[in-house]
Amino acid sequence: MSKYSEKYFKYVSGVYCSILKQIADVINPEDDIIDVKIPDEVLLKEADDFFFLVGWFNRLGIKIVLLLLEFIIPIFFFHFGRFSKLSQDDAYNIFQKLHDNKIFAIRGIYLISAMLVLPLYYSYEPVLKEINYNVENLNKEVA
Amino acid sequence: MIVDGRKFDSNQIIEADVVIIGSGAGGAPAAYRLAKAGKKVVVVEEGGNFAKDFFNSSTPYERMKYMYRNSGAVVSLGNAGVVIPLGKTLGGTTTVNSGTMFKTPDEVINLWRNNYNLTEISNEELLPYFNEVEELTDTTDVTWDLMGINNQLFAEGAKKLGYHGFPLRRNMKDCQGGGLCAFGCPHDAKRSMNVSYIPLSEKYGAVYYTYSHVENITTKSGKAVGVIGYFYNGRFGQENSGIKFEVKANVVILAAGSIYTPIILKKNKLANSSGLVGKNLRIHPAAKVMGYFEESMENWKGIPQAYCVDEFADEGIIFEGFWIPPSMLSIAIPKFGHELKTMMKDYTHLAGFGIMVHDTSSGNVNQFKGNPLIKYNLNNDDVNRFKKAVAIASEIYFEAGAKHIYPPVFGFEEFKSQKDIDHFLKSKVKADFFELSAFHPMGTAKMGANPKEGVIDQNLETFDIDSLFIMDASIFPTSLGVNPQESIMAFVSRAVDKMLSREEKYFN
Repeated sequence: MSKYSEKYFKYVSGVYCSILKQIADVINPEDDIIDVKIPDEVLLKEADDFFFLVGWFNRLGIKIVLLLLEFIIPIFFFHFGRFSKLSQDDAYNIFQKLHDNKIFAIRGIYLISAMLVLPLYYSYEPVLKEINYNVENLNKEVA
Repeated sequence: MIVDGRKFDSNQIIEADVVIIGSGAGGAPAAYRLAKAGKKVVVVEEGGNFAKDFFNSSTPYERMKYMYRNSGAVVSLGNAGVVIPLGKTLGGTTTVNSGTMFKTPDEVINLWRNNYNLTEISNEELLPYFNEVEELTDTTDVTWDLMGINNQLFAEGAKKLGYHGFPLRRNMKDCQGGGLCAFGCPHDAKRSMNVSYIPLSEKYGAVYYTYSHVENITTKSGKAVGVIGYFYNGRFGQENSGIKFEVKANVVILAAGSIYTPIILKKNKLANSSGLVGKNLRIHPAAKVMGYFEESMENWKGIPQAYCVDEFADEGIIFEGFWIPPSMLSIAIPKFGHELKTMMKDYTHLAGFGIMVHDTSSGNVNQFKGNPLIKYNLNNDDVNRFKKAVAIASEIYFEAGAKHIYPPVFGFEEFKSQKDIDHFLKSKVKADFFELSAFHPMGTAKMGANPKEGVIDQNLETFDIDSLFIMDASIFPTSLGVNPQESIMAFVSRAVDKMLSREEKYFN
């Protein structure tokens, strides 16, 4: 994965690729409910665009949050390993704890992570078809 | 004429009578009125000229990325995080808002007159300006058939409970109910600035430079004399091209919105002898309540913001319709993983209505190298308003037939019955439990009766710098309690007339 990320992407380098892929797999896990997975390359290209468009200041903030998620947050919840290397169950548990935390700043880590993967997933045409959205009337709500 | 700032390959010096920073609800009406009076008007707009062809060939998510400032990721911090979507496109936020039009409420004008000594502002004087704005933007009431099922159900639920409501007034012509007002109208039916005031002003010679970022307001002997900035480049104009521009003008109008107007003033250390620049931020904090219905909402049809329940307006609470495509809704639902997928699978059965609070809370805007640092704390009164509003909206949806309700409150995933609402009302809820957004930042360079009480006078000229005007939502001393775009347009139109009535002062 890092091969094509380094080749094609300007703002999303190897470590961020791994984190983003894990985030996407946990927030939009493979299941029968909506049986669609977005190809990694599409996900990362999108993230690279987003990182570019939000400007340097927000980009810096998002990258700090991702690095926190990768290196610090797992330890905080007694998982001794990088977030991107955790099993999907462990990563899911971490997100569950972030998501359910009473402190907004901690919930914010989940929210920022979600912002990077959810809009793309739910604008992807196969997903829209799965949720019975009228794609024709959406003025090309497709990725 | 609209000039794409990306096309320049050398520095530009431009001369004008008036330079306007921003082309939104403040900048465009000012440009129209001044150009019509024969002034040479130049407008510099940081965003691009996104129009119907783009709206019909892109996803709403793509439009948000390119037409919203920081791709929609502007957030205030404080005791609650609030997402504040701001337009960055020709027409400003009007291009990506819901199109709702309200005159400034009489009680707000009276409050300003009585408590803020703004005695030059009166309902009588403003009325012709409101009428003109409504005429030029084709403002009309939403009809029942254009409302969409979501708004119709909420209206019926409110009626059954005896709550007063009404179809909203909107700037629209030949609306087909495409349901995507907040992402650029694909039919040009929403009469936002890019399809109303801007083309009108172009007829009188106003020139708009897109992808143009203002760094400095230049002054000479205490008078504003122009602006200096640079053009962007790249496909969507996000990077400094290194090509500079200077606009020399007799009058400078700052209309960059309530977040960026104070940033420009602070960066330039201008007009802040009162210490009020960036303070007094009001935002109309908002939240959404969602209901699950057995029938399909067909929520890609109809006008998302079409109906208003104002029964509790005296208490600072109003309800306005809202709906967004799946890409945006997915971030707004407090679930993830399989649970989120299960809920999104029911997307077509979900309905949502917005709560807007006439805030008594306030915040401030600071900047770091041109980036906004926004702080806003929700006070207890406003927290209690939200609490009450969530309960009322939930009751309305139950009355309308919702099977269960998703409240926007951390720790309260679902209301299945009135009992759950009662439990919620008895529970202690903190500001950061609410999932908040805000669409109407205001007040950060407010009008005052004198230089100690405001940044600008009642004609919207700064007290400190001659010929420097502020013409956007920054001017309001309090929040309005209603969507502000019509108020901005009317106040700006009035201020331009005042300026033109003193022609010799500004244009000799």
